[in-house]
Amino acid sequence: MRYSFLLTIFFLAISRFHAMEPHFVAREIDEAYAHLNINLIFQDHNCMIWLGTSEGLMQFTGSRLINIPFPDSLSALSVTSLYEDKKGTLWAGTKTGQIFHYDVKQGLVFWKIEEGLPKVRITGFLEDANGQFWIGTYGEGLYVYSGARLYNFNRDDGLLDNDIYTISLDGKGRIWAGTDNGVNICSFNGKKQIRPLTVKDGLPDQIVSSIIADLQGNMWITSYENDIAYYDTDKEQITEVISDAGIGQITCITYFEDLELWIGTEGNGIWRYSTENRKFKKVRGVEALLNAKVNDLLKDVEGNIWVVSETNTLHTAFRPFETLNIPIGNIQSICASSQEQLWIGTDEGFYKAWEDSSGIWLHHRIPNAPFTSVACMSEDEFGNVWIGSLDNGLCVYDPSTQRFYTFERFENLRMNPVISLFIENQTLWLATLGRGVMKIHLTGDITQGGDMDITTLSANGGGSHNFVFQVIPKEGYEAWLATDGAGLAFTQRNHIEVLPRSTIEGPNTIYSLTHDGSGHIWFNTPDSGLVEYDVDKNSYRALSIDEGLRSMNISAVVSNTKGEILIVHNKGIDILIPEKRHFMYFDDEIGLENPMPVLNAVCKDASGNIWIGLRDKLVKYSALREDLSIHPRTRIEHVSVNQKPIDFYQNNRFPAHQNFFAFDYVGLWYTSPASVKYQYILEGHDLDWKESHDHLAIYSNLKHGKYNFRVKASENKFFYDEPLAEYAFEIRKPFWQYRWFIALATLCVVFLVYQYIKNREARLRRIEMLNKENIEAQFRALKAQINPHFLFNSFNTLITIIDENTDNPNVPIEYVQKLADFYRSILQYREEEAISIPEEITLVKNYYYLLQQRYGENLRLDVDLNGTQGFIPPLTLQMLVENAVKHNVISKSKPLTIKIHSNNKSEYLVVENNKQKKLSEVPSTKFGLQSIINRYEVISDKKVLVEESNESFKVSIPIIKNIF
Amino acid sequence: MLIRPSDIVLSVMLTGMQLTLTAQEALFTGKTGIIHFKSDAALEIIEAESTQLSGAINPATNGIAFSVRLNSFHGFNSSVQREHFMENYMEATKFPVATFTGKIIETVSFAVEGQYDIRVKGILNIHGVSTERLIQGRLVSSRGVIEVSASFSVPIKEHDINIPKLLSQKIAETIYVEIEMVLQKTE
Repeated sequence: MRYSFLLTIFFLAISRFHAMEPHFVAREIDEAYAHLNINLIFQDHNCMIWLGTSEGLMQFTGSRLINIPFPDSLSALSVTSLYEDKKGTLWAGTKTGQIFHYDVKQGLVFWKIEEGLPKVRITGFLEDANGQFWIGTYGEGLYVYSGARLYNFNRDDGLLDNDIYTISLDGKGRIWAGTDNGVNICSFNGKKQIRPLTVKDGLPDQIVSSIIADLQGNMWITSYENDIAYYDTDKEQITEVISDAGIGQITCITYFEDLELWIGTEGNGIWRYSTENRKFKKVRGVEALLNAKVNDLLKDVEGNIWVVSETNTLHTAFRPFETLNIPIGNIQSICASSQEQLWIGTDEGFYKAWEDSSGIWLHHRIPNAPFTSVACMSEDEFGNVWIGSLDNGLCVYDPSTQRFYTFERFENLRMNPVISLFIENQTLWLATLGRGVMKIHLTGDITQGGDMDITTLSANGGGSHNFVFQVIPKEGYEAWLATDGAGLAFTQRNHIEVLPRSTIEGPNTIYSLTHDGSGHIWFNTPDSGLVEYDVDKNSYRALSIDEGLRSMNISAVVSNTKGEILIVHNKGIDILIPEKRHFMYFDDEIGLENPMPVLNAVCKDASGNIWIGLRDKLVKYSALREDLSIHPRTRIEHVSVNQKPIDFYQNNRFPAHQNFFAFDYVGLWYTSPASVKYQYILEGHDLDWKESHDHLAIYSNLKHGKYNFRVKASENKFFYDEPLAEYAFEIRKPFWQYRWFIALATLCVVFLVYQYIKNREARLRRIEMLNKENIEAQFRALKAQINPHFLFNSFNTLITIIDENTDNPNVPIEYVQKLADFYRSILQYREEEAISIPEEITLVKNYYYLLQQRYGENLRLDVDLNGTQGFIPPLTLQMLVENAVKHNVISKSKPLTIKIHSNNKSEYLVVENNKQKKLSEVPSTKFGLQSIINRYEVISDKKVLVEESNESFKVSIPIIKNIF
Repeated sequence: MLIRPSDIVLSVMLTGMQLTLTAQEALFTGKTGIIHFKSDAALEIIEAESTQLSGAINPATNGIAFSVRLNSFHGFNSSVQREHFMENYMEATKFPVATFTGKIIETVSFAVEGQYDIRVKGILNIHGVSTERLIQGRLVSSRGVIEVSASFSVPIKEHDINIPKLLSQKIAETIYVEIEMVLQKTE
């Protein structure tokens, strides 16, 4: 078989690009904190980023920097170490040896132990498998806290040095402590065990600045200058030492599993060591980091690398994507060679690009190519590059001889533009314009006289599928085809089988396709977006804009080693996690502003990395082995009630007046904090989810009831399966709405009404009684006064008076007048409830006059009231005087003296007489005195007092000060 | 002068501390330090004191040692209590001396007058059982005299002091010890 070949002339015009590296973003730090020195960076299990600074501990949410105050307002402590133990407690150690632990409830709390704390810089904490807590110090060696006691490891115990730079835990649970004299491998079980690892054991340098463990528990050990050693804990020896004279002093290190070491230096920026190609390269993309002193590095859970440098800035980069600008015309196709080179085809040439030993990308145009516009490329097992061109069909380039081969004998191959090709199992598959799909069996190296056997595939059923956008391998050494108009097709023994038209809408044109790890085919169509075809179930499912796809203008789909689908389009690159239907968006943050994608300019290299050609740019995607977080981590940070922060871990029941709630939450998505959007709902109040960019939700005047505040954060505006943070609480009813209160209140009302009725009845009864008493009193008084005896006595007295005063008729007339006055008074006052004291006195004096006419000087009445004012029931005094006269002997030898006076406080009128009882007791109903007592019970609080002794009889009548 | 067993122990301990004394280097020693302990159990408080704590500090090595004879403790509630404590718990005939020997972690300038918060790392031997301990204390240096004070806890289990269950309410699981002493420069 004869081919024509062209000899290339050695004429290399090599151009230098930049380094291909992740795109770094400088994180803005609030001016208020710009003066801080950030010593270290740490991420806890809740994904929160913590910064240990020269002036204390900070939380960084991606957009906000929050100072966590020390207790007792210790403000300017420099935090030099951070760690989270297995219980989730954060530990902070300072430059001066203080140790604090942190939890959300209490904040930072000083760690108090009997043994006291170190007085020198804390350089690290670790919890070992037995729960023992290790502390590394710079100056006092290692400490281990058993839970009860603190023990110290220092030089006296065999430690190589007391200045410990770093501590780390290996796969066997031992503590590695790096010092100026090597590494101490320590353990403690009541006894201290220290195994030295020094230069004698193969350590490249005695000064060990940083040690980290990989997932297998083997150790990366950095020396003070230039060297890194790898220690295999199974073999218990150093198995590898890597070195680069350009690195300088190493300060810190972090490791992306099976991919790359990141190395921070003292004044020489950041370096990377690829475990794939065993090369060191310096990170050059950020001017500020070129000669920076790197204080710390962090690999976060999203796949970002964080750089803390002395420039007081935080730089982050999303590690999986690296980009490189290559201004060499319009890239149309790329092909990764097994020789760590990249073939790049543009619309006007064919290029080789490669990375030099320092990480700089170089390229040169391969001269004398028999074509200008490259559409697709693939490398065969001999290292030849098969090139599908638009202007000269299929060509082959042999890099070892730098010769091109064309196939002039085969008109089909020469004249037909090739759109897509791949080689598998010595078979070259071609999608050509005009001749459809071809399958070429290759025998041997084509540049060494190998042979070709060409088959043009026809469609079963006679249809013609002249236009195929992409061919990719199908199991069984067949091919999947992306057709223009017929949808998804595949080859089967030299025929093309077209799958039944899918239910997917729109023209059945497929631009690009790929298969994930689970046997599903993913492709894109201009109208349906991304479509998944399940081969086993023969079913289609489309994911479009509504499902989270960002653009319908897709130029390539390709799966990574984890089975995730990368979708390249005009807005950037989306990564779809198929089982979760979750899209992640990447654009600015990975350095792709307004990308100009190219149809199917993607390829995979031998390590599984994906290379994506944009018109003027190369993107390399490396899937990380680590399990990455794909959603923002949503946390409720604070809840305040009536503007006071509460401990919402403990409190979830509130009284009715505590009804003003504010929820402070955060969605941690460090890859792109600005794109975080929130959705929240207060169940029990809101009917639907609310969307917000703000990290605060405020509810005022909440009614009593049960509530659940739920919030989720999304980095891509879709909230299908985003994890939730929630806080359930209850506002109690105001007390007056509780049953017990209502019952109690009802009881009270009933009781009051009952009391009222009872009182009213009592009052009525009292009034009735009073009336009755009054009437009876009047009746009694009348009866008494018209007592025939009294009248008879009075008339006898009158007769006597008339007899004695026949010459003086005025005396009997006066007597009759007084008698008449007396009876008139009785008639006048009997209706009254009370009369004034003078009126009563007048009445009593009248009565006394009448009595005096009978008893003469033997009866004396002394009235001494001193002008006492007030009221008493009518006829009271008269009745008492009458009683005195009735019950006592009145004679010349035993005169009766009745005294009426008021007591010293003018509260009582006192009627008092000397007691000289008649021998024959006058029959008494005791009605008179009892009637007075009864009447007083009704009209006054005060009682009538009766004092009886051998000598005297005394009745005190309360004076009523006011009548109604 | 009578040589007490605790002095012998102390000198042995100090020798064990790798004292490389030259003629000029001085030790600070004392024999009349106060040591006080308290066991605060549910049913009984045992409290006693000794004024015969011996101690030595070697400024050249930061070495420090203390020792006390148990039978020098006095101030028990009763002689019965004392006997129980000494013979049943501490087995004072078998283990007559309690010692501590260690090294000050902090750098102390003994020549400079001043007060230092120190931690001493060393071996505490009580009841014949040695445990490694870190003990916090205070050291005041003035005019050739060093004053040392410290307080620490001694969990009795750590020293194999076995208490019959019946008596467990009479002695605390942890005994608190305070020491205070003045050490003089001795050539």
